[in-house]
Amino acid sequence: MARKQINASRGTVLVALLFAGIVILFVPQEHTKKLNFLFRKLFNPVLSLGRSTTVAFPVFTSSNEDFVSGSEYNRLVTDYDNLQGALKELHQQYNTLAGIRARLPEAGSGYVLAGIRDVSTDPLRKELVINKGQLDGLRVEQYVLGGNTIVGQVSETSPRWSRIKLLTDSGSSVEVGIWNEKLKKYIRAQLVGDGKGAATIPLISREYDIRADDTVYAAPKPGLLETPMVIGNIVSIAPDDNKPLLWDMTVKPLYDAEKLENVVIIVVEPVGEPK
Amino acid sequence: MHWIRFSIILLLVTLLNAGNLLNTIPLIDSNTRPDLLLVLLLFFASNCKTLEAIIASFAIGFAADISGVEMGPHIIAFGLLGSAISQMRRVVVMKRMIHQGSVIFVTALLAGVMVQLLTLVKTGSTPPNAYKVLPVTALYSAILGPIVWSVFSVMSGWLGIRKYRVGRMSRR
Repeated sequence: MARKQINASRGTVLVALLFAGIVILFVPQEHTKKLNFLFRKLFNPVLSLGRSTTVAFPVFTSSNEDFVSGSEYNRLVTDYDNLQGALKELHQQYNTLAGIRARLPEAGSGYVLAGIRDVSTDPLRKELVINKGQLDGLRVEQYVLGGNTIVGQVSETSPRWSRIKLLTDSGSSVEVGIWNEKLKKYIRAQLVGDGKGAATIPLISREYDIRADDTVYAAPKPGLLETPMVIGNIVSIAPDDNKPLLWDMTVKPLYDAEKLENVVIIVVEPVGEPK
Repeated sequence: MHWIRFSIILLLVTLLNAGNLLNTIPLIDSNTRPDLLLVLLLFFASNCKTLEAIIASFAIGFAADISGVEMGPHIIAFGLLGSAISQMRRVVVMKRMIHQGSVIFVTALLAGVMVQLLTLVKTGSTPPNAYKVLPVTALYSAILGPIVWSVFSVMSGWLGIRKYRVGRMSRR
């Protein structure tokens, strides 16, 4: 095969390529992300080879009605926790609204079902790539459900594809609530991903009675989440070695998002938007 | 060098590096992965002619960026480091596995730091756990890199690379 010789000095080629690299670096991410999504789209079948997935909702097959499998039990407990969260929120709303003139209920949440096309293999990122985007109403920061728990938030969108930053990503920071039975209210905190497979809750005073296995809920956020939804459980809690007045807590999300096949994005319609 | 064959190898390594297939190897998961593109970069930078090494380095950087999240950081970091290594190969000999591993470790750290700094310039943020992950990735790449290197060495004839020889006859 005939080979063409490159007629340029090393210095010229180096400077030209470096200049091109700098230009690409300073092109806004809004434009360059299209190339990244295009690559994922083109080579998706090859990239997803070897990804281990399990069925998100295991089918209960036992004939004995008095017993359920462990996975079914976990699902039911999570559903129960979600209902409890919604119920507590409704109680609070009822107390607030009691005596005030009744008004029409606000529009409910919309849900967009999306297929997971890729799971990030970059050790620095815990992300999913899904096949729904701006055209389906997705926006950055919207909450994402995997199974029936919150698994992350939308971090980047294109017209047809989006990235989901998982709660375990080291850059993830989500406002959460831990239900306190004594105070009859949520203890507000910030859930920060540890970049491995769990998350931590820093800066919580030890004066709060928090225990292992307590459920952690995503806190309602106007325009994004209407009622608290389960994220996971506290798997370890101990006094912080460096700050003894604070708790050192680790939260394990209930679902392994990397093994899900589908996710649901909560698309809350802005209040007051004409239909 | 056969550039079409280089492109095929580059595409295969990029897909392997960015995909989930490596997760099937028990020692590799999404928390600890070697950087195969970095090993490819060092292999070409140390074995090709300088001009070819410069072009290959920027091409590998482009592949690393397009398979990632942001465009630009890897092109510049890999391009500069690959060009520098191709200039330094008379000084840094990478014949033995221990030498290859050492150079991979140092280059992975340097490239990692450069990429994070450039990512900060582009997006205004970097992953907070980068300082923990980078040394682990560099170490892992340094351990597995020489084995991958030997695979590339086997293909060097097919790629049209005449291996660089250290000594009086090495001037090009």
